[in-house]
Amino acid sequence: MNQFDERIRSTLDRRAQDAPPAAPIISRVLTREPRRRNRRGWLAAAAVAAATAAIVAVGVTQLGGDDSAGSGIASSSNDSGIASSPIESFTQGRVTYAEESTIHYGDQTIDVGPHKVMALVPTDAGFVFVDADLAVNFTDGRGLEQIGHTGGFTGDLVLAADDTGPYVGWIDGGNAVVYDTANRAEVLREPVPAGAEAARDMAAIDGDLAYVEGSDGVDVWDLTTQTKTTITRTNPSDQLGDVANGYLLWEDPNGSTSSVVSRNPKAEQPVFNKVIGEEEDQLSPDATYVASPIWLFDRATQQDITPRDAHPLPQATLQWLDNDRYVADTINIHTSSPDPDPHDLLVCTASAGTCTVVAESLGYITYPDGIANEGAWEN
Amino acid sequence: MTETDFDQFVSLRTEGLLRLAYLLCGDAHTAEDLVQEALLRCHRRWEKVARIASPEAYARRVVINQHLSWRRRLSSTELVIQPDHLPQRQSATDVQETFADRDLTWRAIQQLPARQRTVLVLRYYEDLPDADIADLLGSPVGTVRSLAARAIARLRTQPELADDTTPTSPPEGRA
Repeated sequence: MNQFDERIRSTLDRRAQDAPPAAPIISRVLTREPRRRNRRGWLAAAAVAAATAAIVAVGVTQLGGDDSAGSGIASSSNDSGIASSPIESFTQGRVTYAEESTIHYGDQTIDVGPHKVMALVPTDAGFVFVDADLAVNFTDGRGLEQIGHTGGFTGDLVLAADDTGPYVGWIDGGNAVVYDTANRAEVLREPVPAGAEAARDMAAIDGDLAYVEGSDGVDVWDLTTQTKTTITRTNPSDQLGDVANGYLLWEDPNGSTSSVVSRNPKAEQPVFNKVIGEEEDQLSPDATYVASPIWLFDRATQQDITPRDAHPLPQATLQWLDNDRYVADTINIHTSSPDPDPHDLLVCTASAGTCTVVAESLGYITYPDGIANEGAWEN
Repeated sequence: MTETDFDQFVSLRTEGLLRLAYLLCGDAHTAEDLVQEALLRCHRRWEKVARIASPEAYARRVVINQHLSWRRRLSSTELVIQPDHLPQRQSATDVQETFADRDLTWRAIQQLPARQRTVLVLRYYEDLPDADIADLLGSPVGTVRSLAARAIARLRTQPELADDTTPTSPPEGRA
């Protein structure tokens, strides 16, 4: 090393020693930052929730739909599920999230108290959520109806829904259930695939197909014909992360690889294969994009198109509003909000790489991804 | 891996990450923001990060990527070098001259383009081989060497630093 190199090195060493100590905000924020649990890691939380369900009972307001689901709908006289103003349509691609017992849909809200929203998905007919009693509820802003119940195993706290359409799916004990929110009726109740309980999961709904994951493969149910086919994994450690527009997104936690295959038998497979190093990846509705919580890729070109110049930077992709726009969240540490972990919600445009803040300084919220919040049972 | 493991990770690695971030951006508050974001991202996917060979390397990569993206975003408005944070130049004794020389060098390093400065920090402070730097930046090794060469050449053009004319080469062990 010559003198000039040494000069650079000693300068940097000296400056590094002068670096200020860590500000307390780092540890403070981290201890309160809500974690989004991987959908396969729910055994402990589910067990706690199941115990809670045994001792808590809440009333619900029954909608006008029939009780063909056989879910034992109870009634009460409260105003749970009533929107702040009539909601004409649920297909307008509005930002959706829940705070405690309030579901936000754009600038409209639905109060579902006393229920606490643990997991939430939008459908074309309204919202479906799991509450603290593991009850599955539906609301369209005119009332609230219990449409089912989840069991107590891993994956049972995951709701699955397509980006558009009326269907929502979940696991109820030993059965996979799909419910049609437009017609208010169950359209599928079938035993989950054989295998370890920990691997069972209602992985995805794509159009009229429901994907139910077991340890050995994935059962694909055609909801219109009630027929089943089974997909065998080519890589035993793969987990089905998402399905959209006929494309299956597989995640291999061992190799940190995400790959996308087309259900079109003529397609050259895989159509996307990338070491992303994260889980909870998802496809955009038409499968043009592959989004991880941080990164965004063009599926066809495999190019990283993460909006790095956006301000603030998106930190977790939550919900696709249409084929190009998605909702992401970010921690806003500069806000004056008294909340120790304030979130901002952004709407980002994938093709333009831009993001706009649409909701500021939110506290603990439930994302519209169908995955139950771990911290909800800690409160 | 548990939450406790993450707490230990934060306890052990935050200071090192802060030093790296501070060298990259030259500003204490921005360094805190960079490290905070990196740790938040680690926290969100800790079960996964904890299984990889070096969680610290993951966090370091996030710090660097964030720094480079923030630099692009703020380049038109932000004055990176903050004179208030720099010691005043002194003279009279050899020791003081040494400190003053470091100040000049530090100022010059801070004025380098972000990627050039990042390469210098990773090479001379983190002591990483060029191949590892290339991996962190997602660039070919040749690009890393080119960035380093241009950075050093640019430093040499600074009048205050121009007295050292010794030709430079990668430090030993780099390749």
